[in-house]
Order: sequence, then structure tokens, then C-alpha cells
Amino acid sequence: MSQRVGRRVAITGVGLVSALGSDPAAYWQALVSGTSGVTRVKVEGLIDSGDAGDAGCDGVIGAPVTGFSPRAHMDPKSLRLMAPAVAFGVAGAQLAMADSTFAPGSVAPERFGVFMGSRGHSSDRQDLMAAVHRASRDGGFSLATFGTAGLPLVHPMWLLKGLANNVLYFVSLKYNAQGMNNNISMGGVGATMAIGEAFQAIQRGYLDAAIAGGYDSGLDLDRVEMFRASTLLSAETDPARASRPFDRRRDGFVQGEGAGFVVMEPLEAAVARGARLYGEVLGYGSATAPNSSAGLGPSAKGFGLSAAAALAEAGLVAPDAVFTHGLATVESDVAETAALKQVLGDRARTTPAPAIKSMTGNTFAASGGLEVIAALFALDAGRLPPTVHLTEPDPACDLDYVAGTSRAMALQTILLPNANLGGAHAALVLGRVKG
Amino acid sequence: MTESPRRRVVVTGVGAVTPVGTTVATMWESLVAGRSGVGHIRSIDASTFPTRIGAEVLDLDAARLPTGPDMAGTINLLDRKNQFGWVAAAEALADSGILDRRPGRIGISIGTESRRPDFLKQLSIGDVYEGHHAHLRYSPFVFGGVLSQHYDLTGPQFTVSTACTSGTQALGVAYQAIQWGKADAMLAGGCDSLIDPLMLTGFSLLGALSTRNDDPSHASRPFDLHRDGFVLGEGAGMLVLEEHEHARARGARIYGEVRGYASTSNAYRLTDSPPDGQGAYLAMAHAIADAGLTPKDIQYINAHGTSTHQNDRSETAAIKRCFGDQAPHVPISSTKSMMGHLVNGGGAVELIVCLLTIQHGILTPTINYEVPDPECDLDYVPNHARPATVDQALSNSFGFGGINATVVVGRVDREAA
Repeated sequence: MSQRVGRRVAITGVGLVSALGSDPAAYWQALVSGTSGVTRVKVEGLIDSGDAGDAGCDGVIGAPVTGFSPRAHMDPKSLRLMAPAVAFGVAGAQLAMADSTFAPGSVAPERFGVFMGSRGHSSDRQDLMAAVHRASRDGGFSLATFGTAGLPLVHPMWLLKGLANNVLYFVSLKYNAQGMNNNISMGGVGATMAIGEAFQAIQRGYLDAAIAGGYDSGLDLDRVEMFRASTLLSAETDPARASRPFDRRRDGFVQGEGAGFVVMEPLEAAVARGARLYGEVLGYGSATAPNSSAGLGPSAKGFGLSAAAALAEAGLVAPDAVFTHGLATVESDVAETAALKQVLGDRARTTPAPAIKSMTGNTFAASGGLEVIAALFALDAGRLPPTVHLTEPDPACDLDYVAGTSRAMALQTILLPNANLGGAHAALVLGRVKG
Repeated sequence: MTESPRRRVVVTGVGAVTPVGTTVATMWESLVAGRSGVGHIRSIDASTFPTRIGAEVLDLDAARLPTGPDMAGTINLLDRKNQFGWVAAAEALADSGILDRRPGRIGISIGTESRRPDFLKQLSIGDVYEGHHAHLRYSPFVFGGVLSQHYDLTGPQFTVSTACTSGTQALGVAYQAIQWGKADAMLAGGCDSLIDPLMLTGFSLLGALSTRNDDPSHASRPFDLHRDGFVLGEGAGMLVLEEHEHARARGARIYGEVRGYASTSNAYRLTDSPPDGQGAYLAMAHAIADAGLTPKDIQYINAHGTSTHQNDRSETAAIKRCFGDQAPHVPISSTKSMMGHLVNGGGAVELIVCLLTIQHGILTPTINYEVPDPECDLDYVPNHARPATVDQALSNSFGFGGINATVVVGRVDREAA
């Protein structure tokens, strides 16, 4: 029995920036054909740690954005205020709006909102280094010297360049979207929650249209350094084999980047204006349950609670398929598998559950958006993308992950679970629009 | 506006760590007395910075932080602002008593930001991020994860980063989560700590900070003609929001009801607010409508009141637009006149002030209000607290990037409760 309330909500536009390009149809084709975006990436400013196997100077294994020129989307003046991830976000939202053909002026400005899965503040270290060096003599840093001589060398807009809600600002400004909004800085559940919160705001009558999604980069200097210090990254040195969710030999995720955004409207209004209906949001749930006290991280309990809540709202016992979080860490993939078995029961083993992070890497706050767009194309095409690099099954990960090659299948509903590294979980249920 | 059933949401616990008191009780005492928490910055050497004053938390009892061997991992994950948040959360949870009874589904909602890398360590690139958990220590969402783990709170979690608006927006989405049946209670609020060389640099370069370095206690002077910017503060405010029946069933003390919320975007400029106060006006008007009230029902406004030229004029214009002829008769005060700007934590502390105003029937003042600004000509409760009956109050927060949020709270009658 469905717990759905209020208005039905349709997705009428998609926009993305990804390791597989920024054209949604080409992105979908790449996923279906099992194309990996993982390669070797040079990270500016990164210094080799000297550890055996560290490839700092030769580049790190990552899934960088391709086929994207910021200048094609933004004027040079605005770009000076944008770190790379910020440009992904603004462009992704703009592409979704263009794709939707939704006219911002067709609803009142205060009935149009923006929900952002944000990376938090943007990388800013390089912008500070000149000032820090000016305040350093004889190997020591002097805050007093910095105050007089260093501070004037920092760009006056430095703080704003790093503002955590800057993409929300740029997007709401461009489309005069003055309504309910949020800037959810929650890593891997960011875009999922942004889409879920926008869904609720439209469903319950607070908004008549919304832009929602997320953006991030795991490939700037700060992110590469902080994760290099963790135990979460894959140590694989061959890009052709890295990022192998659910495989027995998986050893961590590959850092990716990008943006994934959708435009959402009440179904009735979308039908009335003849909009393209990519799909419908049927359910949304979230929960928190860190796996451990020191490392936090995703857990079976968290995946299970959030997926069960989303399915209950959608009125489903089980979806036709699951687009997994599929992070490719040892713990997260086991936890997710256990949760799906618990929530889907007898249906778990027969519900296909691919992991597109095997091709896109972990795009953090963008991942929910990129996965939603892939799921919408899957619903339309009646085809599931594969989990690539999955060649040796793990006994603890024993579901049907659509290993190797894509699969044709009639699809009405898809569940999309996600988690962040702090133990927050969120899930969406999407469906084909039925009359 | 909505067709779906809306559950009532009440506040059953409060906690605060501020420059004018590290508990709710001591904070309230200072605010009623009109005491300033602004002084010369002591925690860092700011002697050569354009701004050398701030509102610091100097007297927090270290015993209230996570201690002991089993908490070593936890304290390691929490930076200064999150430690303030931890202490405020513990106070709010104990105050509510919600964990003593078999609780329902409790979630978390925090207005905060990522920790920024240590300025000094930036010299030695490669050592900025140490340890396996650096990615957590520098993430905005770590505090929510730590609270969930420690208190076994498994409901929805929000980490909201909308600069000065975060705390109010975090409370607003927590209210909605309960109202819409996604949680039975939410531990919600915000925390921040900005007495930091990076933040001092960034805000100084924007010309946003007061440079009244020789007279710190008079530096934060919202709505006064001679205001020259805001004063950086630090601290945290946390509240326990609870579904009304859930709170009643366990006999909880109820501070008041969260009745309305709205967030809006100026869609105007990164730092400036529009002179007509459009976004702020919409936030107040929508929140009052969400509460099922009209402006004449509001008897107190806790202003964003930062003490910048722009904000205080724009906010005054917005209040006049929203309240019309009533505007001169609604008392308005700025908590920031005493504790400076807690940025991501401000809205949460200020909502606690609204609840205590209703409970005690005392309006806390805007201190340092000496010379009226012709464009700020409302009743700002100047300099001295005064008694008043307040049944409904609202709290405003507006931030860089143009995001505005307003929360409306009201008294819950004992009989009705």
C-alpha cells in the first residue's frame, strides 16, 4: 500500500558533467557499452610521498571529467570565482534546464527552488600559497607577518570563491529561483537527498518547479591528499582494472568527479506543457547509522532503513532493479548486499543490481545525480548497464550485479540507494510515468 | 498550502555554548543583563590584522568534552566548532530527557561547514592531512555521523551549509521532517568557530568586519548609525524538536511549538542584500503563512541584525514590507549585539532566545544602540531588557549567497498541551 501523499512529481530535464562526457545520450551509451572513465590523472601540486607504489608524480588513478569546457557555459568573469568543481555544478544545472525546455518565468519566482548536493567549501589552497610564503622566513611561519604582508596578497573575493553555497547562488541567480532551497553538504548522499528534498517540496505543494542534483570533485589536491592518507582508495595501478564493486578483489574506490542535475515539476503541469517525461519520483527515504565509531562509514542498517522507507513511500515490495551505491570498498559492498537481501527478501537474488561507479568512479556529492540520470535512461531504454571489472564473485556479495555486459529488461521501477562516509544513507525510487 | 496531514512539532530541550555563557541558563542571564562577549582576540595572535576583536568562548569546562579512552576516536574527529556542538547537543538531550524513555525515530540536522586545512601546516604540503580519518575530520557531515553513532540516532540526517543561514535552515528542515512523519524527533541546530586566521582574513578582505579595535564591547552595534561591520563569534546551539503527541506521552517539558518555516533565495548578489529586502520579506511572509498566522500575531522578531550597513537597512525594509503599519509596534532585537556573529551556529542560538523570550516574558536588548539610523527606525529594544507578553516570535537568518530562512515559534498552552 503506497504511502504517497500530495502531487505526483516528474523529472523533465537532465544535465551532467562526467568522466563519460557531458551529453546525456552519449553518457548512457558509454555506460551501456561498459566504458570505464578511469585513467591516470595528473594532480597539480601533488608531491610523491615516497612510499612504494605511490604514483603521485606520474598521476593518480582517477576518473576525471572529459569533454567539458567551462567557457562554453560561463563567462570568464564568473569563472574566476569558480573552483573546477563549482564550474561542473553550475554547468550541470544549466544543461538540465536547457534540456527541460522549462521556462523559469512560467511559475512565480518564489515557487521555483534549487536543491544542491554540495561538496562544501571549495579547494582554495593554491590561492593562499603566495601569502603564506610571504609570511614565512627562515622556515618559520609568522602570523604577525601574515597580517601585515601576507593578507594583502590574498584575493579580496577569496572567501566567496570558497563559499559552500556558491553553486546554489549562481544557479538561483541565473533562473531567478527565489523559492525553498537547500545546500546539503553530505558527500555521497548529497545529490540523492537534494533530489529527494525537492521531490517533497513539490509533492507537498511548496514549489511548482525545482532544479536538484549535486556536484563534486575527488581529484583536486586537497581531496587526493586526504584520501591518500585513508584506507579507502583502491591501490590498483592499472586503470583498466580499477573500480571493481562487488568483486572479491575490490580494494577501495577510485576518485571521480562531475555533476548530475535534474529539473522536476508536478506531473500534471509537465504533461500540460508537453514536456519530455524522463520518469517519476515515487519514493524517498533517509537514515543514519555509521558502521563504527572511529571510521563511521556506510552500514547494512543504514542502507536497509533508507531503502525500506523509500520503497514504502513508493508502495513497492521490491523494485524491478537497483542502481546500487556500489562503492567498491570491502565493507560498503558487503553492507549494501546484506541490506538488499534483508529489505527485498526472496526477491533480492532475482533483482538485478548494477554498480555504475565501476565506470564513473566515486563522484561523491555528484554520484546520486549521475546515477539518477542513468536510471532514467534505463527505464526508457529497457536496458541495464553492467557492473564492469566484476569477474571474481565475492561469497559475501552474492546478488545479480549484471556483471560484464548490459542486459535488456522491461523496467517500471528502480531503487537507488546511496551512502556517505559519515554513515548517512538515502534512497530514491524512480518509475516510468504511467497514465 | 498542503493537502497532506501535518504533525505538530514542539521543542523539548535546548543547549547552547556561546561567548556570553556556555549553558543556556548562563547565556540567558548575560543576554538579559545586556552583557557583551566581545573582546580582544586571545586564542590567536591577531595583533597585525585589520580586525583584532572577536567574541570568543573562553570558559568552556573541558570536562564537558568527550573524555576517556573509549572516546579518543570521537574527540579526534571533532574540531573546535564541533566540540562546541557536542557540548550543546549533550545539554539539549539531557534537558529534553528524550533518551531516558524508549524513543521513536530520532534524526539529526546540523548547520555547519567543512573544517578548513590548518593554515600553518599548509607550508609543508603533503602533511596537511594526517591519519586514516582526515577525510572525515575535514568533512562537513562528520558531526552528524558522530552524534548518530554515539547516541544511536538512526533517523534522517541533514548537514546544511548556507553560511549565516545554516542554523535556521537546519532547524527548518528538521521541523519539516517531523511534520511530514519522517522522524519522531530531531536533534537540530548549528555550530561554528570563526576566530581563525583564514576566516579573519577572508571576512576582513570583504570589509565585512568591524574595526572598532580600541573599543571591543561597543563594536557590534546593530541598527546604530555608527555601526561598521559585524564581529566574528563562535559557539553552538542545539535543540530537541519533537512530535507533539510523542512529547506529551512522555510528559516532556515543552518550551514552545515550531509553527512555521520558509527558505528563500535573493537571486541578487553574492554578498549584498537587495535594498527592498525582497528575499528576507518572502522568508518572513512565507514562514508566517506556513504557521497559519498573520504578521499581527507576531510579538517579537529576533533579527539577523549583523551590524553591517547593508544588512540592517535591508532587514528593516523587509520587516516594514512584511508588517506594514504594525512594523513600528513589533519589538526587534539582535542577539549579535552581545555575542557577535556565530555564522553557521547563529540561527540555532537565536531560536533558543525566541523560546526563552516567550517563556520568561522578557525581551533581550540590542545593546550599543546609541545613535538612530534614519533608515533603521523601528523598535530595536535598545540597550535594556524589558518585560513583554510574547506568544509568537520569529527568528531571521540571511547569508552570503543570498539564502534567507525564517522560523516561527509559539507558546503551547498548558491546558492545550
